[in-house]
Amino acid sequence: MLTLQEKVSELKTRIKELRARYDLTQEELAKKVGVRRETIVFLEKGKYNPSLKLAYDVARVLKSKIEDVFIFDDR
Amino acid sequence: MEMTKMNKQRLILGTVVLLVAVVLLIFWKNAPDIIISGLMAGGLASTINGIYSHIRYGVQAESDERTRKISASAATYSWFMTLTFVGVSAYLNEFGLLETTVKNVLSNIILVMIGTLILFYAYFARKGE
Repeated sequence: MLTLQEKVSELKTRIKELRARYDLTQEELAKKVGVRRETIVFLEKGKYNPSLKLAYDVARVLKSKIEDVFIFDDR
Repeated sequence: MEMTKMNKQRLILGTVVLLVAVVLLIFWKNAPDIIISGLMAGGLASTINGIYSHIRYGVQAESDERTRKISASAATYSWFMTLTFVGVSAYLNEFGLLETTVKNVLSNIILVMIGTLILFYAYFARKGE
């Protein structure tokens, strides 16, 4: 019998670190990408999976590639 | 504090509608109550909504992809709970366990719908994803 080993990935982000680099508050970043501050909070905590567009917009504002901002950790 | 365009429009619309209601009340002697009260309710709702949104959100986005997702999920679950409530009420009534009027049933449905919507929204907003 074949068994499938499920790979569960966890989202981690470097948003906080990159925000500090560019001296942006959560509110400023939220305003630049057109979302609520709470959404940035949830993104930083890895509790929210953004749409591709949102991920791209955040990465663009933080002058980084998407894969450098959002890291999927395979467990 | 700077006000968003949407909130400005709400305030203007609300004020205009209230003014129309007041003018009608003054110059139209036999104005039907339902029109006057409807206009006043609409005007007040728009004005209060504009003021509340301005105080609560300022120039932040009122909704974004995350809050829209949460709203959609909360509405879906709320509808399911409301339909369940309607079904249970109907069966209880059918077997004589619950005697009620149409007015009571309708008001209870509205209460369940709004109550569950608020609860599910709060739950999903805290949960993350």
